[in-house]
Amino acid sequence: MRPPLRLAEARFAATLAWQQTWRRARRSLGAFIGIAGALTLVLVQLGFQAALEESAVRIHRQLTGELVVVARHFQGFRDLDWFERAGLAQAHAHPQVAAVAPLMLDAILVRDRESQAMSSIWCIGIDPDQPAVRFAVGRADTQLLRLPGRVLFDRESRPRYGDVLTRLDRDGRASMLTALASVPLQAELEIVGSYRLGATIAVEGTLLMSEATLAGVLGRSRERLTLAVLQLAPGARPAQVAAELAALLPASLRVMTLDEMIAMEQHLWASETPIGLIFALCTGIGLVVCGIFIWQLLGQLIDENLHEYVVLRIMGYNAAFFALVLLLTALLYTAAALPLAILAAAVLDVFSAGSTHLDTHLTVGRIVFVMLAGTGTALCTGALAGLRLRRADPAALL
Amino acid sequence: MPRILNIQGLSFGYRAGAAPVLHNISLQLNKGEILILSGPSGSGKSTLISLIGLLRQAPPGSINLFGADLGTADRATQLALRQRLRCIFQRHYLLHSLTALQNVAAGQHFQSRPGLADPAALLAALGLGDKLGRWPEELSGGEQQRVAVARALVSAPELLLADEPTASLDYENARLVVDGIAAQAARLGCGVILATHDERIMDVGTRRVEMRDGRLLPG
Ligand SMILES: Nc1ncnc2c1ncn2[C@@H]1O[C@H](COP(=O)(O)OP(=O)(O)OP(=O)(O)O)[C@@H](O)[C@H]1O
Ligand SMILES: [Mg+2]
Repeated sequence: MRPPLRLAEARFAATLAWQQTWRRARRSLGAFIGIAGALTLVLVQLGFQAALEESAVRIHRQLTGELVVVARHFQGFRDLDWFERAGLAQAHAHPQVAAVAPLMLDAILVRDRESQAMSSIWCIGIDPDQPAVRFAVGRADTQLLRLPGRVLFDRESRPRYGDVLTRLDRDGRASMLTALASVPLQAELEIVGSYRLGATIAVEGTLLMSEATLAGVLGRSRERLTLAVLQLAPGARPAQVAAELAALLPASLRVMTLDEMIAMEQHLWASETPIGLIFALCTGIGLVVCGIFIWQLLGQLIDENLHEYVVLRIMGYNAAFFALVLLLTALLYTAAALPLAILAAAVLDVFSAGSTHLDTHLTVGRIVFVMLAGTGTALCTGALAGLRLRRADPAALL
Repeated sequence: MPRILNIQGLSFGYRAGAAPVLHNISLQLNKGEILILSGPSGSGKSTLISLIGLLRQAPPGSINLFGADLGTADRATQLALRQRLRCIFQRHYLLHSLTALQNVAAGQHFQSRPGLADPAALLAALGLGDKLGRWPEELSGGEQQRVAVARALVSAPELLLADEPTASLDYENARLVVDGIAAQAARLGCGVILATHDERIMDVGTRRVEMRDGRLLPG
């Protein structure tokens, strides 16, 4: 039995694909730019998606421990659940737990003094002696937060909070006024320093303060925590300690590893918000557009060479040969367009990073994904284009 | 002389019900023969070539090629038969993105009788030894057609079908093409049917038949 394609034929297919690609390079410039453009779109799209996905767990990544304790029905940061601090007693008592850092999270409204405009801002309430977030550890100004009403401001917040930063940098301090309908008295928040964390799709800015300050602003009990971060003793196995704690802690609490919580948040984000779907759709559309350009290009190629291909066919070259020629041609164009797309995406990243406050830099993983997806698109299109050849009538050669 | 082709009482029409284009044609071809198929335009030369060359489905029971009936042969048999013959046309149909040598080498992968022809040697024998690396558009019409001849013959076919291969060439180039065909066909022991109404080149044939309105003229 003869194999569908012998090596010599495959080599000839490669030569043909390669030569017909560069011999008509100038004529296919338009389609080539189209392919590169579509791939750029996909890359940028994926960059935003990854940046948003990552930003959703930005605070999680800062937590200073291996385990977290949350309320039994905790669903993630979107709808914050809470529990009573007293429930943590057993965690303090566990020999493998080195430290327990409480964390209180909530969004509040602040009013800009000049424009009187309202904006929401996320408050991260910590124990200044036992900070639950890494960026607060070892900073002198974390100690300043012990005084009520003192806060630190996130320099990477979106520029929605008036000229707070300018004033802070000029005078060393600035202030914000809370504007909460639910509390009788508004609080003056005195900004005494800044840190860098970054915005997310839902959170435009953050303030760091003591849990006491946050409880005061909200008129909420100091005993109601969002989560507690457990730092384990050296050598302790997080999964094992988590299992042991699960048995010890009250039924209203739940303990999980930090990795589990991050995975939970990302899953929530991808599955329960339309954003994941929208991005998947946009990526898909980018690839389809890329496919259309390749299709166009292969179509032109077939139209130009139809008789010549038919001559090859009646000489004995089979469908597998033509499929290979078209696949390789599609791959060559895609491979040539990729570096251009990567370059364009990198340039776009530099520009977009400044305005989105999101970290959209290119990663190898994303480039590999686009390479694979682009290759897949090229393969599908090449295979489809091969079908067009079948309709050609050899008698038309005469 | 072994028989390559035996046509008996072939009639063919393009559409059922319409008047046939070929009427009761009987024709034989032996190994080594060069048959000139002449006749005015529209007499049915190309139609006959397309049926013999398996470019069109032949009616059953009338064309026997290499011992097989073309009208009833299954797909695999048809493919196998196609490997043993080659066609050249009025236009050269060379791939623009391949050099002369590469175009000829493309014909080499399906050799009817392996080892008989080498692309470069064949091109040299056809007077193109110094133009192996040229792109088709860098060759004259006659040179292009000789490359097409080389591509057809490099597989050492047992039958070469040529439909008006010199129609767009001047006399000198036409001469080079048909003389090349004749010399190589003789070397390879390949039967040739050359359809043409070009009186200038008919002398290359070992035999000549004339078509008129879909019929072979007697004699
Ligand atoms: N695809 C087709 N469909 C219908 N009729 C056709 C077709 N091809 C050719 N014919 C008809 O068949 C007859 C023979 O045509 P054919 O092309 O075989 O002639 P020919 O001898 O090759 O002519 P020429 O010297 O001009 O090439 C003509 O009357 C032509 O109109
Ligand atoms: Mg004709």
